[in-house]
Amino acid sequence: MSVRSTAFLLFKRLVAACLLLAVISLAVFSLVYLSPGSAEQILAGGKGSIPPEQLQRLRAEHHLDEPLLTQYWIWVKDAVTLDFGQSIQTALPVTDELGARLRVSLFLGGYAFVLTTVAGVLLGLFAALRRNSILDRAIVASTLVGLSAPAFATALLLLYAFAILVPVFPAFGQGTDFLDTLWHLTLPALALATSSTAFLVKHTRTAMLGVLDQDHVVFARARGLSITTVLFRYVGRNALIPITTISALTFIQFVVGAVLVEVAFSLQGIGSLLVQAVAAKDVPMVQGVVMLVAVIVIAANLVADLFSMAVDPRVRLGGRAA
Amino acid sequence: MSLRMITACLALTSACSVSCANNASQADTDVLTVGLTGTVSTLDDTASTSSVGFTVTSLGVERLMRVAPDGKLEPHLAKSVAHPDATTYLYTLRPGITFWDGSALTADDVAFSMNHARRAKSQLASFFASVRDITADDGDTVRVTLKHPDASWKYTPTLAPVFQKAFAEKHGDSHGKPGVLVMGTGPWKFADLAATRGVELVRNDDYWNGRPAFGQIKIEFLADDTSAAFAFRAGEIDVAFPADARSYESISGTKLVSSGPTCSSMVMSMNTKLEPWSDIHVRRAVAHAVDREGIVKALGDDVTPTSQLIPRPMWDGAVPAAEADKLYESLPTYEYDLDKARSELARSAYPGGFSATINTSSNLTETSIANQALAASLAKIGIRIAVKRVPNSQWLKQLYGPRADIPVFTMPIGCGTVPDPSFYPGILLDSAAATEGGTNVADYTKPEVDRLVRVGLRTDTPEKRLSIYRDLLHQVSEDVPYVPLYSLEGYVALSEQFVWPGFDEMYSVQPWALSIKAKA
Repeated sequence: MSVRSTAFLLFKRLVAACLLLAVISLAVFSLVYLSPGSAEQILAGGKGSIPPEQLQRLRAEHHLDEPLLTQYWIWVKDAVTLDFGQSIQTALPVTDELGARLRVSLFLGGYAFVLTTVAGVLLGLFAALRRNSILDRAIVASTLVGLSAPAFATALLLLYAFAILVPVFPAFGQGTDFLDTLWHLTLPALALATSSTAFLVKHTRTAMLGVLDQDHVVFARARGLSITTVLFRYVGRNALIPITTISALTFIQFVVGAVLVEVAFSLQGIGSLLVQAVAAKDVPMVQGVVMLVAVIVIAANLVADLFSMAVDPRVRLGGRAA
Repeated sequence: MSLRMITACLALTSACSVSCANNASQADTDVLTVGLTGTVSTLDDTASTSSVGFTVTSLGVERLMRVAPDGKLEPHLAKSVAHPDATTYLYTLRPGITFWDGSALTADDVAFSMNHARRAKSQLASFFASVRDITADDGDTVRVTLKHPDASWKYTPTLAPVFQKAFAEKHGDSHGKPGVLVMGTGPWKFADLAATRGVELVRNDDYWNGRPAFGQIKIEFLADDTSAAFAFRAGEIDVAFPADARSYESISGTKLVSSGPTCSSMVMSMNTKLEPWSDIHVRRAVAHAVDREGIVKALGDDVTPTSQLIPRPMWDGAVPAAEADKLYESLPTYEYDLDKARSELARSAYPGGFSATINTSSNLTETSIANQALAASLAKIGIRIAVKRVPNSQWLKQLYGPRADIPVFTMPIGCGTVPDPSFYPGILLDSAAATEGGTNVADYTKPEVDRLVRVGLRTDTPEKRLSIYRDLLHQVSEDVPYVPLYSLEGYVALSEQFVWPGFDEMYSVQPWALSIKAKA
């Protein structure tokens, strides 16, 4: 029963995700037509006059003589096979550039996410368990500092402290193999993670306090269950639900919105690619990046939903267990 | 469980950092690490729009000619140049030059490369506008025929990269891209190009002009000058070419090496079609009120004032120094004189002065300081200038777009790779460029000036050119569409263990790393 309903829910989510992607793809495709100037001008990189032979080539390459829906269909077929055409700026395939950038963005996002989750949940947990102690107050006070520190300022501070004063980490670059990448991305990941960690600490602390005060927890402890069992089986599981909900958003923000940190550490990630592409009116590149971001957002949300289904039976059973 | 994981993670990271930091700190003078702000996605300059493209490719790909530090043209891959008539140039190749694969450099390769740089899609095509055709005469001579005489042509062979024909033809559109790279004759061979990271080059042991000092050159792509300054300070790069010298110096904690005055300069433009600047007395008043010494002082005495639109260094390669000096002594100048400025303003339609705005690109910190000093000196005669900083893209749009809102600009003009007297008149005075998107920012139009601009470009007798540009500079002095402010300099940051004697701003089109030496 439960397996079947889970499968059905998953199926529903996947269908919804595909529909959403279709709508987004239509909007992304229309970018060429919504931007000021003719489609040919946009595709030639916004130049005023285009020589006739180039015009001919552009019209043929982008099927501009076909009806609009046929153009969209051709574009979607190419996009499904990960072909978004050539970048206007570099004349290289958009997919190559995305591939090269995705690795560092996903690594950085994942690294910052792990740091945020581990540090945020643990600190929040300690603070909640030692409510109103000095430890709690110290943690809460430091979250205030963390919350008010913008990522690019933290980045410069970390750079100065750990690349120049005490040079244990590199000042720029993204590394080659796994360990080297881990070493190179530690400072950027810390810079990204600082304010989110502070946010998660507050969030976890509040969620924990809410659960700790509930009757079933008090009763469980009164039954003489060990503190670990109470924490993991009763408190942790309940507190995880609100944390899971925000974690997808946090991860997406790390992968896509890290542009200031990317610039500070000279990392060539998705965020700076999007900013460059928009500034250069590189429409094929913008289309590619936006579609990629849409896929990342949808996938991260799907994973978060699956995770909350695993922790929370009420979601799994469609509210029937409540 | 989680705690143990964190501890393990931290141990892992610190173990790596200690060992890797040790590697980096070893003073290794066989490897040169260069930090460039920008990225390169192809090594074929004819297809590249990168601002650091030349700086990267020049280490491996060479040119027929080069501009020496004294401004004179010198043969490089060529042995000699003949100029039998006004529209013909014959380049004879230096014997014994080979590509990295051992095959000999032929006139066929050179002719192919120049035609490749000339094709419609090439980013360098505009430098070949006056060319009729380029052919290989025999094994070692390349013949260039122009449609009409063109005094600036002689600099084009200092730009056009020479590739191996067979390699370029084999790879077609992929030529120069990561995985394919290029085949050249230079002192270093390209080993790797990663568009998001950097470039690696290794020594060409068979280089025709002696054995290069560095076994390896690593080029790292950095986001901006701030990142480069941090990386420099952390000891991770040896060489950088900062655009904004002052902020770089303060972050990196190093003193930059300067090229000294160059043919690039900072110029103020006043729109000749927009009020109140369209009033010639206003422009002359401004020219008298500009306190160049004050601006230079505000910039920390690091720059040299200029008083002519064609900077004196432009003549270095063109005519004997004494002749050029004689011309510059005879030219009229607007000396800093507030009384003269006030009396000019009194003759204008705005005797009481007026208010205006100068926008500065957010990319140019130094220009912003210069603008403040400029505003201070103009305030003395009642012209109140508000100095604002705007994003670079917005600034460029105002500069090139319809210039209705902002009639006055200060702009850095890089003479780049064409140090010929025709350069400034061509971009600033030609009425053909006084359009939307054009570079004649003052929208200055005058038939006599147009005629002089064209004749100047199509004459290559030095005496005649001196007299043409003397007439042109007299016109500029009469109408004052532009006020030259100061000469710009090129900068390089070098780590402790290296020196670069004779650094000049033409480095980017030469195998520049050959000039960098380990400190004794």
